[in-house]
Amino acid sequence: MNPLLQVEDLDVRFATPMGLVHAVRGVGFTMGREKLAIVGESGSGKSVTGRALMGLVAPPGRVSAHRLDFDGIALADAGPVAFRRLRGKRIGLVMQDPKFSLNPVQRIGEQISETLRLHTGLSSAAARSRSMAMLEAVRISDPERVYRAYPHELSGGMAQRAMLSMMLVAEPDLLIADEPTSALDVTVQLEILSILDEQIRLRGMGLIFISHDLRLVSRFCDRVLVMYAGRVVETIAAADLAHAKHPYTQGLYRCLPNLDRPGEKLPVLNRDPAWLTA
Amino acid sequence: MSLPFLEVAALEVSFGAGAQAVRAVRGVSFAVQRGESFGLVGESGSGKSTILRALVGLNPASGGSMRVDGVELGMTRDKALRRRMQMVFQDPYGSLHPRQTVDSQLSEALRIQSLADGERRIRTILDQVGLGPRFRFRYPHQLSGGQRQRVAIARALIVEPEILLLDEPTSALDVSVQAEVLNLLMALRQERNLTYIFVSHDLSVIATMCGRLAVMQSGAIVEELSASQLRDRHTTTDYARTLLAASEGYRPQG
Amino acid sequence: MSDTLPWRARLLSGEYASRREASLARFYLGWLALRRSPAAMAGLLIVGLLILTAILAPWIAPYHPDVQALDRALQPPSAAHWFGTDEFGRDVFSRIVWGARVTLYIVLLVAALAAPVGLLVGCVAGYLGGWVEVVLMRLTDIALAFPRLVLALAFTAALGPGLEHAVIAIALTGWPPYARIARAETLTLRRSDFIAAIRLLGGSSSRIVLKHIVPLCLPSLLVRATLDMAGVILIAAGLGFLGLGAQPPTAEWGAMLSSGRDYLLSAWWAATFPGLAIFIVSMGFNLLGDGLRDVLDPKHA
Repeated sequence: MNPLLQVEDLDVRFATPMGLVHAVRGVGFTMGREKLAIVGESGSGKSVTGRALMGLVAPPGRVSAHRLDFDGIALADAGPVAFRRLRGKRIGLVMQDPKFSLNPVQRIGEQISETLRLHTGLSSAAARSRSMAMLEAVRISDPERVYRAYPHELSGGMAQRAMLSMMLVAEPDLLIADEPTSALDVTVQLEILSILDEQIRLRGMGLIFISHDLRLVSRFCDRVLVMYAGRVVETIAAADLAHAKHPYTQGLYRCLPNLDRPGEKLPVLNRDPAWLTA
Repeated sequence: MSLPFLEVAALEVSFGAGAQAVRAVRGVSFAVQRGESFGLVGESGSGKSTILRALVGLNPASGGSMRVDGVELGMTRDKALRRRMQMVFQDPYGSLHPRQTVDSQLSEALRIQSLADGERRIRTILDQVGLGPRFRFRYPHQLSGGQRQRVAIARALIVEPEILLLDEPTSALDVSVQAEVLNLLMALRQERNLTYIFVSHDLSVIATMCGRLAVMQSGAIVEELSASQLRDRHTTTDYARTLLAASEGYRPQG
Repeated sequence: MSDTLPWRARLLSGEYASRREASLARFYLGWLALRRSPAAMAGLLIVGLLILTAILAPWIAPYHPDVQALDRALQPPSAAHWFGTDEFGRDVFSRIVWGARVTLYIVLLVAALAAPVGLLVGCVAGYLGGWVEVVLMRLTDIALAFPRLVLALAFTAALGPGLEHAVIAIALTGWPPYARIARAETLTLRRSDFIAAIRLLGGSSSRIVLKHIVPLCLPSLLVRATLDMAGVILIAAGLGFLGLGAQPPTAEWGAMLSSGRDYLLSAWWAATFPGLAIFIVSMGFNLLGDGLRDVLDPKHA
């Protein structure tokens, strides 16, 4: 059986007035229907990688890859049409702030039904009942109200659930979530994560979880790609993160403040220029 | 026991008027000793930042009292009183004037407070926040988030305040940079015997930085505890327990 | 070339040794950005030429602009008179060259009168808010409600025709747009943390407005003023055309256009060249203003 996603030598470059910025440099990985995390600090190229996988890098940026296969479909040299056919239907995307990814002047229900009808050609009544079921699946207790609500009438956590249902309703095989919880309060974060976890498990999907939060990722995901300056410096099972081999991963993990060591100086990360090439 | 250095009693802050008024802070009281580091932890909308803004006079208090060293903090404050309490803001991209160099932002602080010997003070403070002279004539857009936050700390400390209010100073930073800035703040507090009020949504950050903390929910303090009580998970309210559980991270079900 | 590299490299490196060098670098980077836009450079070239022409008028113009020679009236363009002569035998090219002075004078005077007033009114209204804002902005609305050309007409009619009166009339109706822009910018700045930081250091309101807010409003105002200059030139020309601006025999492009109009069919050059001058210069200001907006105003970049 084909792996869900196979990436080899993915490169993204941006031409800027200051010169060429090489945002992603030779990233490669293979994933099945698992929860894969891409972690790194700002500017590490993790978000750009996620966008490149969906064909969403905007014009000054140029994407090239030796291989980019999604479920046996070669996308490395495919045009925007091939990506458009997959996006929403087979690959979903959840972004950090639902306020910017939901249409502010359309009711939540209409947005979900529309996604569904676009990809499945379902009748509007059928789309409505499927959407309603989807809202219930993301643990919204009064789906009727949320279905009729506009995005601004929802709290951040509710809006992110709505976003999640919009992305899951077409039953994609792969979901790319770019910092889906970092704009939310901690208690809400956990709820969203547990919904996400449940849905991924029930549907047997693959998840790419892009995050800067190593501690979160270590508990939530199966496998972790650690990115630094556009490269993958380490690939490691999430459970082994505490015993990472690469000094960058170790440093990221140790510099987190810890409840159990109050008032202690935090270990800091000493960046080694060799990481840029090694 | 001596009189507390900073005392907030039955503080109320409301926004809007009449029926639409929102009580952002509801009868909050706490006291902080000189040299102590006190944490306010809570989720967004809990009123923790509003308390800081009321303390420095950016939001008017609608009730209660605030005292520093026995002096009542009203809406009008002279420069000497203002100098005693400075603040570091959350967003490193919004807290520096976009078209002034580091140097001019620091000298502006000195000029407002009419402090002499500016040249030496600027050089010293830049060293102390770990930036050094190379950064003195840079514009904010030439600095990273962590460097900007160091400049903001330098601007607050160059007038030698006694109290520093920190409003989520590291939540916009990468974790590795957060560690550096937190270490810096710890060291500066020791060197200068500063009193901190540290606001954060992150319990582990508060645990690292503060000896004592108050948990806030919808404008009120629900629980006050010490860092060691926090370490031993000695929480008494449900809300504090929820927050604590959340900060331990995700626990997969099944 | 090689000996100019060190200072350029230093300005681009972001490591400056002094306050002077830091501000120098900012201008240099702005210049580099402006240079990337061909339209802006064309605008800059036109405006630069206008300024040079105005300064060097006595040396550039081959004839005296006002001396009449009726025996050579309405001659077509030739080697002796590049743009021909007008109905009094005056050299049209020389009059256009001298007219550059009048145009520049109007533009600078209007900018110097209207922009600072608008800037201050807008910033103060935006920062202080409350009743100060209400009063200042209603005043602005009132001034904005006057039709520009009609007020200018009334003004010059009351005070008598003349260049200065035309300029004052234009400036009187010119400041409200600046006040509006400055207020809108100030409203977004007022709540920012860096302004809060100055407040809690003990900085006074006047200090905050003058030292911290006004400099941030300047770029968008400069852009707007440059774009406005095209309109100012057209209005001044319009007043000149109606006989209410510059008075004869002063060489002013609008007045030249007006008097040349009578001979348009028999001597096209007398009206066409002043018209072209007005067109080119106002387009130059427009192009430059657009380019400056791209460089100075990050919201549009």
